[in-house]
Amino acid sequence: MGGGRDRGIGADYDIVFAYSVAGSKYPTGAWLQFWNSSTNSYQGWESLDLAGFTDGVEINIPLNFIQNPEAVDIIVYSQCETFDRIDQAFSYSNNQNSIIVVDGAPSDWDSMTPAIVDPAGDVDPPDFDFTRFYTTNDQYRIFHRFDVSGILNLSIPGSVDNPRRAFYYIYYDIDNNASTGCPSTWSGGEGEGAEYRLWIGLYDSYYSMLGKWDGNNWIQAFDWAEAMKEIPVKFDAVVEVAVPLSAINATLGNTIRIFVGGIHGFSAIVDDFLPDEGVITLERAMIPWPLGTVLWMLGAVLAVGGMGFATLAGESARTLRRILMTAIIFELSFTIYYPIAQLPANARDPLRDFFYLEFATVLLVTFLFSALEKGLGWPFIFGNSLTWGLVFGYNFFFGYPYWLMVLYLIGEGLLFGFLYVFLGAVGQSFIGWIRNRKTSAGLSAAVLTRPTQPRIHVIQWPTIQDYVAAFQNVHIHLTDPELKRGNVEADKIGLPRSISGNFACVFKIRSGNGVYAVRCFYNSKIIDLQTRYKSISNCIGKVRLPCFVNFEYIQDGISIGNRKYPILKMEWAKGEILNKFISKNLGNKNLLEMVAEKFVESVIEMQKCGVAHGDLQHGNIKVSVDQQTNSVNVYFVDYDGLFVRDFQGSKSPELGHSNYQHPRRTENHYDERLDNFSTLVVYLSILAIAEDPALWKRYHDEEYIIFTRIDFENPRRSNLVQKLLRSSSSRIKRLTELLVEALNCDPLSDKTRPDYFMRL
Amino acid sequence: MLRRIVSVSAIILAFMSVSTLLLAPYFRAAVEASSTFYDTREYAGWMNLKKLDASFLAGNLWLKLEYYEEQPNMPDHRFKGEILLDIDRNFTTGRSWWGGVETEGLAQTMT
Repeated sequence: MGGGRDRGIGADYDIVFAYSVAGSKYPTGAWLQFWNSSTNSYQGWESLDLAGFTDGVEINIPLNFIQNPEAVDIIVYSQCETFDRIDQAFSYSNNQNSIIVVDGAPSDWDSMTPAIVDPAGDVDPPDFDFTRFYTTNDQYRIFHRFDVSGILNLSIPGSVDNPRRAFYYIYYDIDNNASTGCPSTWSGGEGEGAEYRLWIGLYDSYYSMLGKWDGNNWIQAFDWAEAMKEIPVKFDAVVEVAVPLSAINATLGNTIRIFVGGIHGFSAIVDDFLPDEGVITLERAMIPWPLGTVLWMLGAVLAVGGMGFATLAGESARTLRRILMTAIIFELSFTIYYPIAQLPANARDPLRDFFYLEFATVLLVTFLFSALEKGLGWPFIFGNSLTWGLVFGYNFFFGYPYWLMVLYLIGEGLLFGFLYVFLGAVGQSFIGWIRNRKTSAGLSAAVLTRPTQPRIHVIQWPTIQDYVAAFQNVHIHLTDPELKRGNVEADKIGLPRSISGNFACVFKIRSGNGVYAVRCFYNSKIIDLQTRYKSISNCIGKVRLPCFVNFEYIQDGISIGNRKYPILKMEWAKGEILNKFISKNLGNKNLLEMVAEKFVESVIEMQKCGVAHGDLQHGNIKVSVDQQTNSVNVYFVDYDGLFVRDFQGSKSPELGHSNYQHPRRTENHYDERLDNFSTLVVYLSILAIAEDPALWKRYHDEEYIIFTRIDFENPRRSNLVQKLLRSSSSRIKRLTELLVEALNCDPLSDKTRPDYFMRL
Repeated sequence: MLRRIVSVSAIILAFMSVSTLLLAPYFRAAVEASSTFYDTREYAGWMNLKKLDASFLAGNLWLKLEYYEEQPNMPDHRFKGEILLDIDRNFTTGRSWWGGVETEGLAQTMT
């Protein structure tokens, strides 16, 4: 490929552009044409976005307009243009007899007055800045002289392709009649009524051309060589031209009308190519991973993964979630700003508007789900999918296929879902691993002296059915010698009878003179049993509370399959569970009141020793009556949620039965006051039934005595609470008022201390 | 719970991996390719092309022409020109000769 005008590049498209800072009579904008090889011409005139500046132009070509190419060769041909518009007509009488030499020197015009004067300095560069126009004649010719502010320089070094050109147009209305010759409809009225037009071009050389109006268009009146010969043009300090009167059919002495200016009255064009030789080749890159993309990916992984982790971690990570929210907003802000920053500051680029829109959308979505808090993750995923869907939806209109956008949108949502869920889980596991490592290595004294933090294991526990099968052959599966010899209590069909709860099931074994409850665990997420029960055992052994039964934790107590699992061997508590006991003694007001008092006394004793049960409910309270002493005994079973002082500062392993617990109790509520609320519930329930046995029939169910969580969550709408508030018994009334008041207080509030409400 | 999370995550990861592998050739970053081409200063005054910034930018071919000096703030001064694109980079297709610029596209900007 050569340089300059003769090179061909196999151009398939041609973009035409023009831009004027201060405005122009002529159009500005950018247009796209395509090359039609069969007609050998450009076709189409598609408008493109163009942004102009004082020092350049910017053009966007949607890739689907040009067949979405993988690479493109580019040549830029620039023509900077300036017009010094004259647009003036005057009448001229051919009655002069001047002696003019067409030599580019102005001295022979000195005595003449210019026909047109134009201010200097209104055009840059000065050699195209028209200032004066003269006309005179002799017997044969009419002369014109153009003055400019500077001298036209056609020998600028380094020019590529005819660097400078100036064009002059003069129209002659020979019969001085506007209704004949060129009509007013031609080019906005320029040269109206003219029969001849002189075109002068100053190029690498100079030449002129005389046109004649043929009724429809301008035709060449002389051939090129003839025109050059007959109409000499000279330029040096000024531009001079001499036109034979015969050539324009003008008669000496007649008055003609001369029009100077119009579209090309006085113009200049400078050509420039980029590149000067050859072509520019621009190739599309496949995911080049610019800085912004890399940072975005990294930030997205950290922010979304962290958010997933924080959400899975539950209430305790509320602060972390808020910090991460800030990080995500920053992440989005930065990464959306980054591509905007790549664009020129004053560019009117549609992408910029879009990015701002997207930024606003993301912020809105982010703040929305931040405010809602609940279900934190999914709105985030949705928001991102939405915004990126918009991004690629936008791209769809500019080059990408529809199906790809849909796939990408789905993929984007799944990607965020994956990051959110998977990285969250990984983060939690990592934290768990760090905690375990610290605990087992005993790295610091601080760690050793702190209460043992429950450790989370991922253990595949046996099912209840596995345990039932194992208890059919206790001599094989159990390791404790006393239990191995025992007989398991069976149900009606002869299988071992199990009493199951949320985390464990219990089997009853008689061995020798002893009766034992064997507690087996089947929950997949459970505290560090061995450490925990060791602390409990130490504490209960010291305080010797009558409400607790003796127990022994056996680490490898039962073998199932190839593995061994822990069990708890407990002394079988005498008596009946509270529900059954109440049911059997419904009309015995004194006995029930004795049970209630004994129950609260037991709790008070526990609290004095720094112990709390954590899950006081009907199934964990056993009651027996000593007929000889006419006294009542109360026992507590199920010590999984027990609090002893060794656990101070750690979190509660379980939250207790919801029908007995304060609605706002969380794992952070864990000290010796833990049973305050549930004690009040049980105490009030027994007393209320003792006072009015009809309550039992109306409000009792297997899962509770009479109160349920619904009563606690909305006591105003609770029939039971309202009924008790109207009770004839002042004690029950006061206790109920206390219960309602307690619901507005902290779950560990001292207002519900048993030693306090017992005196009410 | 953790086991379920890991299983679901693994399925999603597998989907993402396969789809990414299949679709990778089609995915492009927002700014795929960006280059600047400079031109020498050949003239005095404002009519000199300085450089061309060209990018494939999010579904667009984005071109910015810059001149050495600012256009005078005077009426009827214009940046004007043509940009030729050979999208198949094949000399034998499309227009293979040069010339007549003013009588084709540019002439249309005059009317």
